Amino acid sequence: MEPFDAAHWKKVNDALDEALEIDENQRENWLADLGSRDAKLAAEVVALLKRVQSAPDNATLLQTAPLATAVVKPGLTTAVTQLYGAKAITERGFDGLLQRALRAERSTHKSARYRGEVCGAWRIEEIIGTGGMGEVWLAHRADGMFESRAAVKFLRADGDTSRFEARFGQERALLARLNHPGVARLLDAGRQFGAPFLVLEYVDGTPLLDYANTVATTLESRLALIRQIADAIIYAHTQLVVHRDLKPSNVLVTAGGQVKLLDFGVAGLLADAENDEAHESAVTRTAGRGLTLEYAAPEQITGDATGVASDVYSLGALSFHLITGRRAFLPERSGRAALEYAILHTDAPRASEAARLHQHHVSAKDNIAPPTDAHRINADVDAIVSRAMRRNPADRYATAGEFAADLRRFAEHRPIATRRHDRAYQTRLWFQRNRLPAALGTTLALALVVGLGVSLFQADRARSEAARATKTADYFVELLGGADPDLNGGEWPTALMLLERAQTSVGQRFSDDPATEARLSSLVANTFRSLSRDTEALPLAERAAALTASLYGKRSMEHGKAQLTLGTVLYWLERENEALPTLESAIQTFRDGAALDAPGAATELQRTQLVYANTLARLQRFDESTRVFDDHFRALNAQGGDTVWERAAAEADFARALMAQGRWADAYALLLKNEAVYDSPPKGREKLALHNRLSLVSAQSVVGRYEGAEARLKALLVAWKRLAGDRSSQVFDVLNDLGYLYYRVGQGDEAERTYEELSRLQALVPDFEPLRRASTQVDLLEIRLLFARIDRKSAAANALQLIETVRQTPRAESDRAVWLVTRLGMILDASGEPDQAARSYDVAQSLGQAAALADGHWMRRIERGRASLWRQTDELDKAVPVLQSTVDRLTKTRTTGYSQRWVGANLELALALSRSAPTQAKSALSAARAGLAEALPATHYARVLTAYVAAVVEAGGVTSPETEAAFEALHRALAGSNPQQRTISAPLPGFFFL
Amino acid sequence: MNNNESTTELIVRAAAGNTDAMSTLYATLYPEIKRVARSRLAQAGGVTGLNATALVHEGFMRMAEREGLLGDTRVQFFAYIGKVLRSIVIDFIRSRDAEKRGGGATLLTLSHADATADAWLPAVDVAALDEALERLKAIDLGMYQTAELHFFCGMTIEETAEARAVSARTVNREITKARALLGAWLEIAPS
Repeated sequence: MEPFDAAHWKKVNDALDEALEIDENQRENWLADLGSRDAKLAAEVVALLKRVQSAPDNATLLQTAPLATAVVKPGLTTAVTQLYGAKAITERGFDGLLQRALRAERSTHKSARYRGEVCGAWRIEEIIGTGGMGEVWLAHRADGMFESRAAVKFLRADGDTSRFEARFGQERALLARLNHPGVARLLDAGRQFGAPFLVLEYVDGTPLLDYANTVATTLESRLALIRQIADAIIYAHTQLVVHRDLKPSNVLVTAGGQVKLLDFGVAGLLADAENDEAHESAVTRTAGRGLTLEYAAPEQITGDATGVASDVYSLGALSFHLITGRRAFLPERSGRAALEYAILHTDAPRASEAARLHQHHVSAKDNIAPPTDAHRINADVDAIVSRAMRRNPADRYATAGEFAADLRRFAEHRPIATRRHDRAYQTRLWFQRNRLPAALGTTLALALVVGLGVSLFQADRARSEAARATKTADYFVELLGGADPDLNGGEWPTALMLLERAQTSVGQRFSDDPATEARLSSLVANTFRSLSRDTEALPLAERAAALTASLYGKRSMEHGKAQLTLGTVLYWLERENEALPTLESAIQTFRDGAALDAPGAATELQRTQLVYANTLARLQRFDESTRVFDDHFRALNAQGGDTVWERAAAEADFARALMAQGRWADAYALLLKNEAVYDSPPKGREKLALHNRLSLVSAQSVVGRYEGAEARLKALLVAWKRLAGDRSSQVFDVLNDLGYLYYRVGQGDEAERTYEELSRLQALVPDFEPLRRASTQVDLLEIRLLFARIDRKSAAANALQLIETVRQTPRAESDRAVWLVTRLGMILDASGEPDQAARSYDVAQSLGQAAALADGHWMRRIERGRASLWRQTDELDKAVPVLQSTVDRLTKTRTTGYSQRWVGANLELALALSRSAPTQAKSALSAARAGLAEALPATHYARVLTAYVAAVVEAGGVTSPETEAAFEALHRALAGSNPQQRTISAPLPGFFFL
Repeated sequence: MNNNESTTELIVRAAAGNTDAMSTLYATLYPEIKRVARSRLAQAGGVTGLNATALVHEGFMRMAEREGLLGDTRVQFFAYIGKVLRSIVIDFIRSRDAEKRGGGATLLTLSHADATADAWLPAVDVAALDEALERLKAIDLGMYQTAELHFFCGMTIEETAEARAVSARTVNREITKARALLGAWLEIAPS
């Protein structure tokens, strides 16, 4: 519309007003009348009327925001989008822009200073923070290696620079040696633009207080954070590095719940460089460097010697903040002097009281909510925190380790060292501890009592063994009798401690009585095995195997049993290649050896076969595995009697082996057949039954039969939490399956939430298997990317970081690690980073080769990843054979029912063939269509993706309005409530259907 | 705030077309407006998705009361704030665009926005909007003020009506027409 002047507008405006007043059915005539008098005016009024009419009523407009339906033209302004009522998309509306503008305001002038410069191998990108010590910039490795992100910190060295350099040179080696998951690593250092810089591991995390406020809301979870921080400090102290500036802003928590301490030793570096002038007071030194007073120890303020004790103090002050939600010192008067006075001359309030009065107290800007269960903050917590924060360094815990140990004791209801002398207090805790329905404690007590009972029973039965059995029994009685705090450094030993003592003392104690040693080793090994503590079980199982071999011979029943135990332990330790020969020799023993006629040999043989079959399956040797399973089933049939449960249990194992081969439908049928048996297990097999029920749900969700799965999983979750506790691996398995179910049915929100919960719980387990943790992180990343919860750039960076994590795990050369890196490659592919993806596949391949993995299944997965890249670069001669053979292989193993993998492989093939071989592409497409489960909702991405591929095939492999529209629909279906965010760069069916 | 001359006087003179007063007003108010806006946002704790304009608006209500702004002056004051907030956004977008493209002039379109690092940055032609608003101001001051107060200063329809001393119905009608007119000038396809 042409612009017009005020006079003309008055005419338009009056006419418009009039038109709006008139009843709609008369408007046409009125406009025709106007047109006959002034055609131009009428045209303008009509144009405006059209807009007025199409816009809904103002009042509703502001609330409902129907942007998604509006026709969006390129160049449309957000501000105008808002004019049209799009208030809901605040991040993109005027509101969102205003917020961003105001936030960015602060750093705009400085933000271009170092951009694009190169510091050593690092290219500087953008400023990510400023602090008392200088500026921090995000940087990438200029040579494009892995782990490419880093934080470059420019230090303000306004002291004596030559002195700084000297000091820097010394410290650098020390700092670079710090290598701990809880410490952001120093990668590089140097001097540029006249300022010394440090290159640090880039940490993508939440500031500690924010994390505590939103995620770690319970006392337990905050104590777990504190323990993690303490662990990092303990480590650094052993490396002779003191932090000296420990405060919440120096601690980040990653999405996986890993704490990362920043700036280790940096404060010392700066302080020492300036410290040459004797007359300079410590306070100015501290103040001048912008070190935070709030968490500084008194001796740091007065300028006395600082060291480990100062870190212990700061750790105490930090703990105070996390536990109570507020800083320890909040003087009425503001200002540095008042704060210094408070730290130097007063004691911090009791933590319990501070948490209770939290709301009434002076509000500080860094206050966070106290833990939701603040009532649990008791005198123990008060004592621990106040001991760490004693004004006199000599009165504090001598090391961060002692502080952490007391925190752990508190968490476990054991007497804390600080209050050891208090007898009544100890007794109270003993009762608290024993009232707990801890599954672990009960199992252990049972195991020990059973051990005792078995020994006595055997003593009764076989005279020749009587003496030995008595000795065994005596040993246990003695062990239990040792449960006196006065004999245990004033602490009540737990059953587990007794067992651990048995582990180390059995060998020494019975060195002149190998038969008793063998028996006890077996017993304790089996007990550890039943507690899933296989690392502890292993040396005992090995010892028992060696002893029985020399005592009774390699073909003896005793040795066979010991081999079975050892093989089982190795299997659970995932050392399948060692388990295999051990189990084979046990089978030989039970089958042909002298033990053949021994009582119970048949039962032992069956047990061994089962473990053996599972081991083979895990090694992907499916044909052999199936044969052993068949043997086992035959043996069961031959046995007669009531073997319903045994058979169902073995079939569950077999079903799991089928799943490992991708034969989900067969596994599902098998498990479904036995469901009733698993629902009412014999006594003592409840856990196994739950395990089998979980397998059933896993199978059903994979074959696309979702009905009832969610409810089943939730029931299992409750059952396992009750039986095994929140942090048990079983709860993790159920959560994993629940998350996976949501993922499969396209419920992104629920899936993300579930995996976040899983990640959170795993983080609470000390020494949790790092590869399994990484696996959870990969799942979470994949979900976030697929459902547009994360932008592509972050997803790619995250993936690169995870690859590094996987490579650094102790068992990086394993099947799982190879698989994880392969998947991360696919994630990089989907994030629009094909080069990085290709590199990841190379990494996966070299890991696989180093691990000497059997068979080519891992290589085929890598090839599939590469095929997707080849397809995108039009190297179809390479891509098509791989995709075709994937389809062929999946077709072979696929039985009836829905297989997402099969659908995905066909779609990928159809895409690859769409231009060169349209007929074949069409047949792959229709195969995929036929494979879709009917139960899938119309908006499910399997359907939407199929529709997209259909559009591409229809268009002959070129881009057309139809393919664009289908791609749009795909995005909409995935992004759900967040339609503006787009993450997947190209639809990769292989990625969706791993 | 300027000690020698009250904000009220400045606004009155600026509104009367005094360029000196206008630049003094700008120098005085721009940082102040930013400060207030930023502190309001900070108080909200960095929550994204909140109604920033309404929040900012609240902050300026106090300022208006403190300065004792009434009647037309009050309207002009708020219209001015809306304009400043808009220019904060425009400056921000321009600096981002300049950084990204070395000062190039092509605007990002929605369909390509996600291909860049700053995926959140939408296809923005705020400058064109600014121009359109100026045009509106030239032909219909009342409607322009309504648009400024309601769209960019976060005032509700009732508040706008009260400030402009007209009926809510009139404001409603003006909003409808302003939207239609701006949409036509900016060539946005009607829904």
